[in-house]
Amino acid sequence: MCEKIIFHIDVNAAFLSWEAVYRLRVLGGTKDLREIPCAVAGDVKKRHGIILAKSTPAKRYGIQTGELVAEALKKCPGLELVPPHYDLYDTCSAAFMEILRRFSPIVEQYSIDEAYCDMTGTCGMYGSPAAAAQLIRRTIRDELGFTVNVGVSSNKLLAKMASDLKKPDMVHTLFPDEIRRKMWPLPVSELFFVGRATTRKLFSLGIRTIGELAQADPCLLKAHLKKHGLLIHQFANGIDSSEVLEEIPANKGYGNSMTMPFDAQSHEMAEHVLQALCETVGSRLRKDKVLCGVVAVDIVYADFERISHQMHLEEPTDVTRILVRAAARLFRESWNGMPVRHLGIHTSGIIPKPEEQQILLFGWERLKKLQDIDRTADEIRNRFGEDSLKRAVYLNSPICHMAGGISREKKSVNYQEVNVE
Amino acid sequence: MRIPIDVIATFNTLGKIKPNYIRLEDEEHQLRTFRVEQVEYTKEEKWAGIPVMVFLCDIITGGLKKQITLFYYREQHKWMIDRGEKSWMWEENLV
Repeated sequence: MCEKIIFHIDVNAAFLSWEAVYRLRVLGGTKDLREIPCAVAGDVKKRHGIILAKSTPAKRYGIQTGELVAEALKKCPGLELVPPHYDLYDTCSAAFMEILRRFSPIVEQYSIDEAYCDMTGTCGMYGSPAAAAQLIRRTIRDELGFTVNVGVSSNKLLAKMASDLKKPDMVHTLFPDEIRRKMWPLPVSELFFVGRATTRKLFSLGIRTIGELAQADPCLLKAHLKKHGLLIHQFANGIDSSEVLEEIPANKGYGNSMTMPFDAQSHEMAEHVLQALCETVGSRLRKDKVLCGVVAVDIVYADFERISHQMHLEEPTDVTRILVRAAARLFRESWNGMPVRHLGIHTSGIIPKPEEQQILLFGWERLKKLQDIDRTADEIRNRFGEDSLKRAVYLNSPICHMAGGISREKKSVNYQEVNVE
Repeated sequence: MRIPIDVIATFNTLGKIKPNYIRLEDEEHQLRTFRVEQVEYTKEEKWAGIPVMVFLCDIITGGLKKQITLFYYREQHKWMIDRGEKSWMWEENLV
């Protein structure tokens, strides 16, 4: 039996690379965005102005993903900015996954630009795991035009750490016998599942590198970081038994949120936004045939203070109107009166929708009516498009009637307005 | 940059596509039609996951045979050429 071989494939600067290839090869432009200081960024005017992806030349100016456009421009005044283009990213991602499926029987899509491949047993076909990895890397580059990093190992954790080593366009191996040399010298913040808070705690325990974490006393880690501490200790030692899963596990929660283009200063405006978010969440719950039992509202104020408030519903539901009422109540209970820049709805306590209707003692007819309205709205929107049916209050509103997720303007780029060279 | 053009093409029983005529506007906004004499080669490209068929075609213009690259964008059903190619298509041969 072949030893387990797992690959982790990661597209280099996905959003930027994909837009670069699109402009160069599909639109027939002459400029390669990957070769100049360039970044994909949201619309500053809509207050979505953060860096989503950057080119290698941009990295040299210290530009970071997630920072504000204004900050990035201070570091590099000549930075070229391009808008997000999510429909393109979906196309690129699908083509990328399709190539991976040619090589591996089990592909787990981890995100829009990352995937794990279980290559166990394929060693006979390509010679060695590294040879297979190189073939995947070259095939994606030659057919689709963008570069990836491939991490090769015997488990998912090490494969993912491997793909994060030197970039771009490279294959790295990180088998258990290599972790001492390649992984232990790295700072502990580079380890998968170690975030800012954990890094701080580890620093205070005198642990700065992955090697130090691997050799630390597990009891000490458990005392300070509980189960998480034991997990990262295992990871630092290259131990991970998780499987590559083709099928995505069912969602444990459904939520949508949005940062508004202006601050909400009244109940009415906030509820206007919450209702639009509930329309989206409701339709997603119904699409997946689930009900939610818990609703939460997240508020982010203009000064970036956050607060969250949740409640259990009387009965699990998928009815938009019930979600809206719950959200409105949660908002009123927790709002401190200050201007709000971001609102979110999150539902949890997800159960599959039962076949038989649940009959409440009171309000049965009203519930049935609301369910009929929702079902009809879903059918009309599926047939004629999302915008074919909307509540009248959204006609002249700057808020989209089904808010949250990727907003319309980020899905495509109007190349008439954008100058493509 | 690429610009869209009008094309007449034939689809044979094996599903093969062959461009026969192309038509586009010149600088004076006059429509000019060219017959495709021969397709030198065909290639399928999928840059950024977008399927495009590439045809290298011979056309006769100004008494000379010239080569031009046609791009058929499968999903949009549009035919395009590089803007740069457009200008030399009606260069008259000064003898």
